[in-house]
Amino acid sequence: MRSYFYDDYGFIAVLLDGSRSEHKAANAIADYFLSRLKQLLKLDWDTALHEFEKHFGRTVPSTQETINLLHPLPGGLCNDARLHAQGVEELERLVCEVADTEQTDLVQRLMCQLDAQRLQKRQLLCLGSLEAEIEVNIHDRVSVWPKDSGLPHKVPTFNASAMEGVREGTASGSLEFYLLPNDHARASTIIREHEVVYVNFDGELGDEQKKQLTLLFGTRARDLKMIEEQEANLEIVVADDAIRIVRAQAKKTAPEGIEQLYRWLTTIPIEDDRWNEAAQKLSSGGFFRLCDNDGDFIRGLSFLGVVSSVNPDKTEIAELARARGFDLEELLRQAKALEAATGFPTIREVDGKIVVLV
Amino acid sequence: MESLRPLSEGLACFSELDSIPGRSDVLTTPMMSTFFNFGGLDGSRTSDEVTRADGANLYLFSLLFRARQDPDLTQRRENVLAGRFPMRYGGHLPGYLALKNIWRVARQSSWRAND
Repeated sequence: MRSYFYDDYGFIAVLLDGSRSEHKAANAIADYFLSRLKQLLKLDWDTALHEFEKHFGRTVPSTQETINLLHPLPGGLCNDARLHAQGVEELERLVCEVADTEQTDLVQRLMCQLDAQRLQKRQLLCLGSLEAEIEVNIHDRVSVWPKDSGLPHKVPTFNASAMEGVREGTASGSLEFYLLPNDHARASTIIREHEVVYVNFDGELGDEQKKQLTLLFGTRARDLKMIEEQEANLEIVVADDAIRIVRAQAKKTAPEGIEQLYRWLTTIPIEDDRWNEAAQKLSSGGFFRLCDNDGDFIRGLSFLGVVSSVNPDKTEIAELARARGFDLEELLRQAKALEAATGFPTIREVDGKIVVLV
Repeated sequence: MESLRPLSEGLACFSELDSIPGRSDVLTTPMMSTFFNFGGLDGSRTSDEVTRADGANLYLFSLLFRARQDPDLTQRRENVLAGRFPMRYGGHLPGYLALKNIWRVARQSSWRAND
């Protein structure tokens, strides 16, 4: 599912299509997304997944020599080869533009450098960060002092050896934790203002890769601030442009349109004309309202969902349920009653196995 | 982005609450991350030793088996199911329900969609 949408070069082609402007571009993006969802529900899953597994993890390098880009193969998830090729071309054009270091305009060049750096950061997943006072002492030890810890005595959250060449001193900064999913690695780092004073990697990474990643860590706070400023500037630019009318209209109508789409997707299992009533209830009061505000049923359904994902055996689930204060037979009865009243299925019992559908 | 957000949230919830490794040759990125981040620290053997001896799937399954029996995870699922539907609340409920429906459609037509 992730690859179906996020590795879809057809989507990239529509997003970066310069030939459409203003409301035509917005409509084209919305139409494409809807058509992809409809395709998904009619997909020949067996063939598509077989192709996907066969090509999983395989990439093709970019045709442009100036950039280092690897395109994942569509592997059964793309049904428009022409649009896919156009998406590859459009993405390479954009990356070439961002990577162009010979631009004469200094501001433009700096902006491109920052964009390029931010693109590289997509390989990093920040799991969490703690704002703190960062001290490096004369013995090259770095200490993370929490701000306003509420404790009577100041105790450092973390101590470690500082990186080589880091100067002594104290300033605001942060302790940050990263996941590098593509490399199956983790990193923890301490930033003092914009300087990386400590970094530790867990996982098999080369020295050059560690060096590159260390450079990226130091700029997170600056990047976040810059994105904030760029968004504010964009608001000003849009306010002075004719596109503001299209944007205002999209902002007004899009949430309802998106919600309508998800009302349809969430009520697909209702086979008769009661889907609309169920969709209205979901929309106005969530699943809670659809279940007649029965919190106990939702709690029981939540329990059944997680345990049946790893062990669907009805007898064993019934035992576990008893131990946790749930009555499996009563939950099954409630699920049947809900389905009879609304058409919305929640639990199925097949050959002594429990299958939870929500 | 607004249209995709519920799907992204739904995928995240699905990985946490429903997904298990199965017969597929492909291990998803969240499963890979789970394996490499929890594998080496669990028990006396390293991830490498476990992979060589049992394969990643058995190890992941045992990790998930324990996690899914945890009352905290039931609570997390309850929070998703009892959430609000409109997009301004983050889209977790519509995204999760939509994902489960798509998964159901997929599983009805191919065993490959089981994991």
